[in-house]
Amino acid sequence: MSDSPGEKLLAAPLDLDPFARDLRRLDDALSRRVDADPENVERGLAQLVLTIVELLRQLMERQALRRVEAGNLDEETIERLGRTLMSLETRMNELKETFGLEDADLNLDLGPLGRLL
Amino acid sequence: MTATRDEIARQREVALVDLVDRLLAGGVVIGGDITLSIADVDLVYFGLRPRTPSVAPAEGLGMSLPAARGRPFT
Amino acid sequence: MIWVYGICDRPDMPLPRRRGLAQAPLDGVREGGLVAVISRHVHPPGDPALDTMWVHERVVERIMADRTVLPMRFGSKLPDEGALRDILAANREAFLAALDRVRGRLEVGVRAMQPLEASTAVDVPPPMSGADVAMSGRAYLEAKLQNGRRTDHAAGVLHEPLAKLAIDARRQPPRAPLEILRASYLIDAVVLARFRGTVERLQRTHPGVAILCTGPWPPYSFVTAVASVPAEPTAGGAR
Repeated sequence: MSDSPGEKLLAAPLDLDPFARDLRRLDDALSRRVDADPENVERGLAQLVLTIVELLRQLMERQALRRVEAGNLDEETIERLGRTLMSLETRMNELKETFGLEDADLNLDLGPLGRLL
Repeated sequence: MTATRDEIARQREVALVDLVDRLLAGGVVIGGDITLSIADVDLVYFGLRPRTPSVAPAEGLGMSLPAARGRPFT
Repeated sequence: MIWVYGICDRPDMPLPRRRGLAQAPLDGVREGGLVAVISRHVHPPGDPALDTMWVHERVVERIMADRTVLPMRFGSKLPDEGALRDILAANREAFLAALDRVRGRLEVGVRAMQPLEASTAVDVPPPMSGADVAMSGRAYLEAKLQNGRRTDHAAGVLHEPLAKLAIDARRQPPRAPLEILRASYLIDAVVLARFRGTVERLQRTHPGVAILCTGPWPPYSFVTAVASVPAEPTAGGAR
Protein backbone atom coordinates (compact mmCIF):
# COMPACT_ATOMS: atom_id res chain seq x y z
CA MET A 1 0.00 0.00 0.00
CA SER A 2 1.29 3.40 -0.87
CA ASP A 3 1.29 6.42 1.34
CA SER A 4 1.73 8.84 -1.49
CA PRO A 5 0.95 8.70 -5.18
CA GLY A 6 4.61 9.08 -6.04
CA GLU A 7 5.22 5.56 -4.80
CA LYS A 8 3.16 4.25 -7.69
CA LEU A 9 5.94 4.71 -10.19
CA LEU A 10 7.42 1.32 -10.92
CA ALA A 11 9.61 2.46 -13.76
CA ALA A 12 10.04 5.98 -15.02
CA PRO A 13 12.22 8.02 -17.35
CA LEU A 14 14.24 10.96 -16.09
CA ASP A 15 11.95 13.52 -17.65
CA LEU A 16 8.43 13.03 -16.39
CA ASP A 17 7.03 16.22 -17.88
CA PRO A 18 5.37 14.68 -20.95
CA PHE A 19 3.57 12.22 -18.72
CA ALA A 20 2.38 14.84 -16.27
CA ARG A 21 1.02 17.26 -18.81
CA ASP A 22 -2.63 16.38 -18.38
CA LEU A 23 -2.66 16.95 -14.72
CA ARG A 24 -2.80 20.68 -14.30
CA ARG A 25 -5.88 20.94 -16.52
CA LEU A 26 -7.47 18.07 -14.69
CA ASP A 27 -6.80 19.58 -11.31
CA ASP A 28 -8.17 22.95 -12.34
CA ALA A 29 -11.30 21.42 -13.77
CA LEU A 30 -11.86 19.24 -10.74
CA SER A 31 -11.43 22.07 -8.30
CA ARG A 32 -13.42 24.42 -10.49
CA ARG A 33 -10.57 26.82 -10.54
CA VAL A 34 -11.44 27.90 -14.03
CA ASP A 35 -12.98 31.29 -13.46
CA ALA A 36 -15.64 32.92 -15.52
CA ASP A 37 -13.86 36.02 -16.71
CA PRO A 38 -14.75 36.88 -20.29
CA GLU A 39 -11.33 36.07 -21.70
CA ASN A 40 -11.41 32.60 -20.23
CA VAL A 41 -14.94 32.02 -21.38
CA GLU A 42 -13.97 32.98 -24.90
CA ARG A 43 -10.95 30.76 -24.73
CA GLY A 44 -13.10 27.97 -23.40
CA LEU A 45 -15.51 28.30 -26.30
CA ALA A 46 -12.65 28.37 -28.77
CA GLN A 47 -11.36 25.24 -27.13
CA LEU A 48 -14.69 23.52 -27.60
CA VAL A 49 -15.03 24.55 -31.22
CA LEU A 50 -11.45 23.73 -32.14
CA THR A 51 -11.77 20.35 -30.49
CA ILE A 52 -14.66 19.50 -32.75
CA VAL A 53 -12.81 20.78 -35.79
CA GLU A 54 -9.74 18.81 -34.80
CA LEU A 55 -11.86 15.72 -34.35
CA LEU A 56 -13.26 16.08 -37.83
CA ARG A 57 -9.81 16.75 -39.26
CA GLN A 58 -8.47 13.59 -37.67
CA LEU A 59 -11.42 11.53 -38.86
CA MET A 60 -10.93 12.79 -42.39
CA GLU A 61 -7.23 12.20 -42.20
CA ARG A 62 -7.71 8.66 -41.02
CA GLN A 63 -10.22 7.99 -43.75
CA ALA A 64 -7.94 9.43 -46.39
CA LEU A 65 -4.98 7.40 -45.20
CA ARG A 66 -7.03 4.22 -45.25
CA ARG A 67 -8.04 4.88 -48.82
CA VAL A 68 -4.52 5.74 -49.92
CA GLU A 69 -3.30 2.54 -48.37
CA ALA A 70 -6.07 0.54 -50.00
CA GLY A 71 -4.75 1.85 -53.29
CA ASN A 72 -8.06 2.75 -54.85
CA LEU A 73 -7.44 6.42 -55.44
CA ASP A 74 -5.94 7.97 -58.54
CA GLU A 75 -2.86 10.13 -58.34
CA GLU A 76 -4.70 13.40 -58.80
CA THR A 77 -7.12 12.64 -55.99
CA ILE A 78 -4.34 11.63 -53.66
CA GLU A 79 -2.50 14.84 -54.39
CA ARG A 80 -5.59 16.93 -53.83
CA LEU A 81 -6.53 15.11 -50.64
CA GLY A 82 -3.04 15.54 -49.29
CA ARG A 83 -2.90 19.24 -50.03
CA THR A 84 -6.31 19.84 -48.51
CA LEU A 85 -5.44 17.98 -45.32
CA MET A 86 -2.09 19.68 -45.17
CA SER A 87 -3.61 23.14 -45.37
CA LEU A 88 -6.26 22.15 -42.86
CA GLU A 89 -3.58 21.07 -40.44
CA THR A 90 -1.70 24.31 -41.01
CA ARG A 91 -4.83 26.31 -40.34
CA MET A 92 -5.53 24.35 -37.17
CA ASN A 93 -2.02 25.08 -35.93
CA GLU A 94 -2.53 28.77 -36.59
CA LEU A 95 -5.81 28.77 -34.71
CA LYS A 96 -4.32 26.89 -31.81
CA GLU A 97 -1.51 29.41 -31.64
CA THR A 98 -3.97 32.31 -31.75
CA PHE A 99 -5.85 30.99 -28.76
CA GLY A 100 -2.85 29.67 -26.93
CA LEU A 101 -4.14 26.12 -27.01
CA GLU A 102 -2.06 22.98 -27.17
CA ASP A 103 -3.03 19.55 -28.38
CA ALA A 104 -3.65 18.42 -24.84
CA ASP A 105 -6.24 21.18 -24.46
CA LEU A 106 -8.26 19.88 -27.37
CA ASN A 107 -9.19 16.62 -25.80
CA LEU A 108 -12.49 16.64 -23.99
CA ASP A 109 -13.29 13.64 -21.90
CA LEU A 110 -16.76 12.26 -22.38
CA GLY A 111 -16.70 9.78 -19.53
CA PRO A 112 -17.95 6.41 -20.70
CA LEU A 113 -17.70 7.58 -24.29
CA GLY A 114 -14.01 8.00 -23.79
CA ARG A 115 -11.91 10.85 -24.91
CA LEU A 116 -12.94 12.81 -27.92
CA LEU A 117 -9.60 12.46 -29.65
CA MET B 1 20.24 10.20 -4.18
CA THR B 2 17.19 11.83 -2.71
CA ALA B 3 14.62 13.27 -5.06
CA THR B 4 14.21 17.03 -5.16
CA ARG B 5 10.95 18.60 -4.22
CA ASP B 6 10.22 19.19 -7.89
CA GLU B 7 10.88 15.59 -8.76
CA ILE B 8 8.60 14.42 -5.99
CA ALA B 9 5.86 16.74 -7.18
CA ARG B 10 6.25 15.50 -10.72
CA GLN B 11 6.11 11.87 -9.60
CA ARG B 12 2.96 12.59 -7.71
CA GLU B 13 1.41 14.29 -10.74
CA VAL B 14 2.22 11.44 -13.06
CA ALA B 15 0.79 8.86 -10.70
CA LEU B 16 -2.35 10.91 -10.24
CA VAL B 17 -2.87 11.13 -14.00
CA ASP B 18 -2.79 7.36 -14.17
CA LEU B 19 -5.03 7.05 -11.13
CA VAL B 20 -7.66 9.50 -12.31
CA ASP B 21 -7.78 7.82 -15.70
CA ARG B 22 -8.61 4.57 -13.98
CA LEU B 23 -11.01 6.00 -11.42
CA LEU B 24 -13.06 7.83 -14.01
CA ALA B 25 -12.97 5.50 -16.98
CA GLY B 26 -12.53 2.18 -15.17
CA GLY B 27 -14.13 0.39 -12.30
CA VAL B 28 -17.49 -1.27 -11.89
CA VAL B 29 -20.36 0.96 -12.91
CA ILE B 30 -23.53 0.90 -10.88
CA GLY B 31 -26.30 3.38 -10.63
CA GLY B 32 -26.58 6.02 -13.30
CA ASP B 33 -25.40 9.54 -13.83
CA ILE B 34 -22.16 9.06 -12.04
CA THR B 35 -19.52 9.67 -14.60
CA LEU B 36 -17.46 12.74 -14.21
CA SER B 37 -15.73 14.04 -17.23
CA ILE B 38 -13.14 16.68 -17.34
CA ALA B 39 -12.96 19.67 -19.56
CA ASP B 40 -11.80 23.14 -18.87
CA VAL B 41 -14.99 24.57 -20.21
CA ASP B 42 -17.59 22.43 -18.57
CA LEU B 43 -17.84 19.58 -16.20
CA VAL B 44 -20.42 17.40 -17.81
CA TYR B 45 -21.49 13.92 -17.14
CA PHE B 46 -23.75 11.58 -18.95
CA GLY B 47 -26.56 9.40 -17.74
CA LEU B 48 -25.60 5.81 -18.30
CA ARG B 49 -29.07 4.68 -19.21
CA PRO B 50 -29.25 4.78 -22.99
CA ARG B 51 -32.61 6.51 -23.01
CA THR B 52 -31.64 9.55 -21.05
CA PRO B 53 -28.23 11.02 -21.67
CA SER B 54 -28.79 13.76 -19.17
CA VAL B 55 -26.43 16.53 -18.41
CA ALA B 56 -27.45 17.36 -14.90
CA PRO B 57 -25.61 19.49 -12.42
CA ALA B 58 -23.21 17.29 -10.53
CA GLU B 59 -24.62 18.14 -7.13
CA GLY B 60 -23.89 14.64 -6.07
CA LEU B 61 -20.27 15.56 -5.93
CA GLY B 62 -20.74 19.02 -4.57
CA MET B 63 -20.38 20.83 -7.86
CA SER B 64 -22.69 22.80 -10.03
CA LEU B 65 -22.33 23.52 -13.69
CA PRO B 66 -22.79 26.85 -15.40
CA ALA B 67 -26.51 26.42 -16.02
CA ALA B 68 -26.55 27.80 -19.53
CA ARG B 69 -24.34 25.04 -20.77
CA GLY B 70 -26.59 22.26 -19.54
CA ARG B 71 -27.13 20.71 -22.92
CA PRO B 72 -26.08 17.24 -23.87
CA PHE B 73 -22.80 17.28 -25.68
CA THR B 74 -23.31 14.95 -28.59
CA MET C 1 -26.63 8.36 0.48
CA ILE C 2 -23.98 5.73 0.39
CA TRP C 3 -20.65 5.93 -1.34
CA VAL C 4 -19.35 2.63 -2.67
CA TYR C 5 -15.66 1.78 -2.83
CA GLY C 6 -15.67 -1.79 -4.01
CA ILE C 7 -17.42 -5.11 -4.15
CA CYS C 8 -15.57 -7.96 -2.48
CA ASP C 9 -15.63 -11.53 -1.46
CA ARG C 10 -15.16 -12.80 2.11
CA PRO C 11 -18.21 -11.15 3.66
CA ASP C 12 -17.26 -13.01 6.82
CA MET C 13 -14.06 -11.04 7.32
CA PRO C 14 -14.19 -7.87 9.38
CA LEU C 15 -13.68 -4.65 7.46
CA PRO C 16 -10.60 -2.50 7.94
CA ARG C 17 -10.87 0.22 10.55
CA ARG C 18 -9.66 2.80 8.09
CA ARG C 19 -11.83 5.84 7.44
CA GLY C 20 -13.24 6.72 4.05
CA LEU C 21 -14.16 10.01 2.42
CA ALA C 22 -14.91 12.88 4.76
CA GLN C 23 -13.55 10.73 7.57
CA ALA C 24 -16.65 8.56 7.49
CA PRO C 25 -16.25 5.03 8.84
CA LEU C 26 -16.40 2.11 6.46
CA ASP C 27 -19.25 -0.33 6.55
CA GLY C 28 -20.26 -3.37 4.59
CA VAL C 29 -23.47 -4.28 2.84
CA ARG C 30 -23.61 -8.02 2.54
CA GLU C 31 -25.67 -9.97 0.05
CA GLY C 32 -25.27 -13.42 -1.41
CA GLY C 33 -21.63 -14.09 -0.67
CA LEU C 34 -20.58 -10.59 -1.56
CA VAL C 35 -19.86 -7.54 0.53
CA ALA C 36 -19.89 -4.02 -0.80
CA VAL C 37 -17.67 -1.64 1.12
CA ILE C 38 -19.36 1.70 1.67
CA SER C 39 -19.43 4.84 3.72
CA ARG C 40 -22.58 6.71 4.61
CA HIS C 41 -23.06 10.41 4.06
CA VAL C 42 -25.77 12.94 4.57
CA HIS C 43 -24.21 15.41 2.21
CA PRO C 44 -22.07 14.42 -0.75
CA PRO C 45 -18.62 13.83 0.60
CA GLY C 46 -16.37 16.67 -0.34
CA ASP C 47 -14.98 18.02 -3.54
CA PRO C 48 -14.08 15.69 -6.37
CA ALA C 49 -10.60 17.01 -6.13
CA LEU C 50 -7.49 14.95 -6.63
CA ASP C 51 -6.94 14.59 -2.90
CA THR C 52 -10.39 13.08 -2.48
CA MET C 53 -9.66 10.62 -5.22
CA TRP C 54 -6.47 9.63 -3.51
CA VAL C 55 -8.35 9.05 -0.23
CA HIS C 56 -10.81 6.88 -2.13
CA GLU C 57 -7.98 4.97 -3.77
CA ARG C 58 -6.29 4.29 -0.46
CA VAL C 59 -9.50 2.77 0.86
CA VAL C 60 -9.71 0.45 -2.13
CA GLU C 61 -6.07 -0.53 -1.77
CA ARG C 62 -6.48 -1.19 1.95
CA ILE C 63 -9.39 -3.50 1.22
CA MET C 64 -7.35 -5.15 -1.50
CA ALA C 65 -4.61 -5.91 0.99
CA ASP C 66 -6.55 -8.76 2.50
CA ARG C 67 -9.26 -9.72 0.04
CA THR C 68 -10.24 -9.62 -3.60
CA VAL C 69 -11.94 -6.42 -4.71
CA LEU C 70 -13.85 -5.22 -7.73
CA PRO C 71 -13.10 -1.51 -7.51
CA MET C 72 -15.96 0.86 -8.26
CA ARG C 73 -15.77 3.77 -10.61
CA PHE C 74 -15.18 6.93 -8.65
CA GLY C 75 -18.46 8.58 -7.79
CA SER C 76 -20.49 5.42 -7.33
CA LYS C 77 -23.28 6.53 -5.07
CA LEU C 78 -26.63 5.05 -4.24
CA PRO C 79 -29.54 6.43 -2.25
CA ASP C 80 -29.65 3.59 0.26
CA GLU C 81 -28.66 0.05 1.17
CA GLY C 82 -31.72 -1.40 -0.49
CA ALA C 83 -30.64 -0.10 -3.87
CA LEU C 84 -27.21 -1.59 -3.33
CA ARG C 85 -28.59 -4.97 -2.30
CA ASP C 86 -30.71 -5.03 -5.42
CA ILE C 87 -27.65 -4.50 -7.55
CA LEU C 88 -25.64 -7.10 -5.69
CA ALA C 89 -28.45 -9.61 -6.08
CA ALA C 90 -29.08 -8.81 -9.73
CA ASN C 91 -25.42 -9.16 -10.68
CA ARG C 92 -24.32 -11.81 -8.23
CA GLU C 93 -23.02 -14.31 -10.78
CA ALA C 94 -21.23 -11.65 -12.78
CA PHE C 95 -19.58 -10.22 -9.68
CA LEU C 96 -18.48 -13.63 -8.44
CA ALA C 97 -17.05 -14.49 -11.84
CA ALA C 98 -15.23 -11.16 -12.00
CA LEU C 99 -13.79 -11.73 -8.53
CA ASP C 100 -12.46 -15.08 -9.74
CA ARG C 101 -10.85 -13.36 -12.70
CA VAL C 102 -8.95 -10.84 -10.62
CA ARG C 103 -8.16 -12.90 -7.54
CA GLY C 104 -4.47 -12.71 -6.70
CA ARG C 105 -3.95 -10.26 -9.54
CA LEU C 106 -3.30 -6.59 -9.95
CA GLU C 107 -3.22 -3.96 -12.64
CA VAL C 108 -0.17 -2.21 -13.99
CA GLY C 109 -0.22 0.76 -16.33
CA VAL C 110 2.26 1.50 -19.07
CA ARG C 111 2.61 4.65 -21.13
CA ALA C 112 5.26 5.21 -23.75
CA MET C 113 6.00 8.46 -25.47
CA GLN C 114 8.48 9.85 -27.84
CA PRO C 115 10.55 12.64 -26.42
CA LEU C 116 10.38 15.99 -28.08
CA GLU C 117 13.81 15.94 -29.67
CA ALA C 118 13.27 16.22 -33.38
CA SER C 119 15.94 13.67 -34.17
CA THR C 120 14.06 10.83 -32.56
CA ALA C 121 10.49 11.94 -33.13
CA VAL C 122 8.65 10.30 -35.98
CA ASP C 123 5.97 12.93 -36.12
CA VAL C 124 5.57 14.79 -39.34
CA PRO C 125 6.11 18.40 -38.39
CA PRO C 126 3.34 20.19 -40.25
CA PRO C 127 4.28 23.20 -42.33
CA MET C 128 3.76 26.16 -40.08
CA SER C 129 2.63 28.67 -42.65
CA GLY C 130 0.71 27.89 -45.77
CA ALA C 131 3.73 28.87 -47.85
CA ASP C 132 5.48 25.52 -47.72
CA VAL C 133 4.47 24.21 -51.11
CA ALA C 134 7.56 22.12 -51.52
CA MET C 135 5.81 19.14 -49.97
CA SER C 136 3.31 17.57 -52.30
CA GLY C 137 -0.04 16.34 -51.12
CA ARG C 138 0.97 12.78 -51.79
CA ALA C 139 4.24 13.13 -49.90
CA TYR C 140 2.33 14.54 -46.95
CA LEU C 141 -0.02 11.55 -46.87
CA GLU C 142 2.83 9.10 -47.39
CA ALA C 143 4.70 10.63 -44.48
CA LYS C 144 1.63 10.29 -42.30
CA LEU C 145 1.25 6.66 -43.30
CA GLN C 146 4.89 5.99 -42.53
CA ASN C 147 4.50 7.73 -39.22
CA GLY C 148 1.52 5.58 -38.38
CA ARG C 149 3.27 2.39 -39.32
CA ARG C 150 6.34 3.25 -37.30
CA THR C 151 4.27 4.15 -34.26
CA ASP C 152 2.24 0.95 -34.53
CA HIS C 153 5.40 -1.04 -34.87
CA ALA C 154 7.01 0.69 -31.91
CA ALA C 155 3.89 0.11 -29.84
CA GLY C 156 3.88 -3.56 -30.75
CA VAL C 157 7.52 -3.95 -29.87
CA LEU C 158 6.83 -2.61 -26.41
CA HIS C 159 3.42 -4.15 -25.87
CA GLU C 160 4.14 -7.72 -26.91
CA PRO C 161 6.65 -8.79 -24.27
CA LEU C 162 4.51 -7.15 -21.61
CA ALA C 163 1.30 -8.75 -22.79
CA LYS C 164 3.08 -12.10 -22.64
CA LEU C 165 3.51 -11.68 -18.90
CA ALA C 166 -0.11 -10.68 -18.39
CA ILE C 167 -3.39 -12.51 -18.00
CA ASP C 168 -5.13 -9.77 -19.93
CA ALA C 169 -4.29 -6.43 -21.47
CA ARG C 170 -6.20 -3.35 -22.57
CA ARG C 171 -4.75 -0.95 -25.06
CA GLN C 172 -6.16 2.47 -25.73
CA PRO C 173 -5.75 4.53 -28.86
CA PRO C 174 -2.95 7.04 -28.42
CA ARG C 175 -4.12 10.32 -26.97
CA ALA C 176 -1.26 12.73 -26.92
CA PRO C 177 0.51 13.51 -30.18
CA LEU C 178 3.74 11.84 -29.17
CA GLU C 179 2.16 8.94 -27.39
CA ILE C 180 3.07 5.51 -28.66
CA LEU C 181 1.45 3.19 -26.18
CA ARG C 182 -1.13 3.47 -23.44
CA ALA C 183 -2.08 0.16 -21.91
CA SER C 184 -3.18 -1.63 -18.76
CA TYR C 185 -2.07 -5.13 -17.89
CA LEU C 186 -3.70 -7.56 -15.49
CA ILE C 187 -0.91 -9.62 -13.98
CA ASP C 188 -0.54 -12.21 -11.27
CA ALA C 189 0.79 -10.46 -8.18
CA VAL C 190 3.83 -12.73 -8.17
CA VAL C 191 4.76 -11.52 -11.65
CA LEU C 192 5.08 -7.87 -10.65
CA ALA C 193 8.84 -7.85 -10.18
CA ARG C 194 9.39 -9.61 -13.48
CA PHE C 195 7.04 -7.21 -15.24
CA ARG C 196 8.88 -4.26 -13.83
CA GLY C 197 12.17 -5.79 -14.86
CA THR C 198 10.87 -6.25 -18.40
CA VAL C 199 9.82 -2.61 -18.59
CA GLU C 200 13.26 -1.57 -17.42
CA ARG C 201 14.87 -3.81 -20.01
CA LEU C 202 12.67 -2.38 -22.77
CA GLN C 203 13.64 1.10 -21.69
CA ARG C 204 17.32 0.23 -21.90
CA THR C 205 16.99 -1.32 -25.34
CA HIS C 206 14.82 1.53 -26.62
CA PRO C 207 16.44 4.72 -25.41
CA GLY C 208 14.53 6.69 -28.04
CA VAL C 209 11.24 6.32 -26.23
CA ALA C 210 10.26 7.21 -22.70
CA ILE C 211 8.45 4.42 -20.90
CA LEU C 212 6.45 4.94 -17.77
CA CYS C 213 5.09 2.13 -15.63
CA THR C 214 2.75 2.74 -12.71
CA GLY C 215 1.08 0.47 -10.22
CA PRO C 216 0.14 -1.76 -8.70
CA TRP C 217 -3.43 -0.63 -9.09
CA PRO C 218 -6.70 -2.33 -8.23
CA PRO C 219 -8.03 -3.90 -11.46
CA TYR C 220 -10.04 -0.86 -12.63
CA SER C 221 -9.56 -1.52 -16.31
CA PHE C 222 -10.71 -5.11 -16.14
CA VAL C 223 -14.04 -4.81 -14.36
CA THR C 224 -15.85 -2.16 -16.37
CA ALA C 225 -18.28 -4.44 -18.17
CA VAL C 226 -19.37 -6.37 -15.13
CA ALA C 227 -22.60 -4.89 -13.88
CA SER C 228 -25.78 -4.29 -15.76
CA VAL C 229 -27.85 -1.53 -14.33
CA PRO C 230 -31.50 -2.38 -13.84
CA ALA C 231 -33.60 -0.23 -16.17
CA GLU C 232 -35.48 2.49 -14.40
CA PRO C 233 -37.40 5.54 -15.50
CA THR C 234 -35.61 8.74 -14.64
CA ALA C 235 -37.03 12.16 -14.00
CA GLY C 236 -35.99 14.95 -16.32
CA GLY C 237 -32.98 14.58 -18.54
CA ALA C 238 -33.41 16.45 -21.76
CA ARG C 239 -32.33 14.65 -24.86
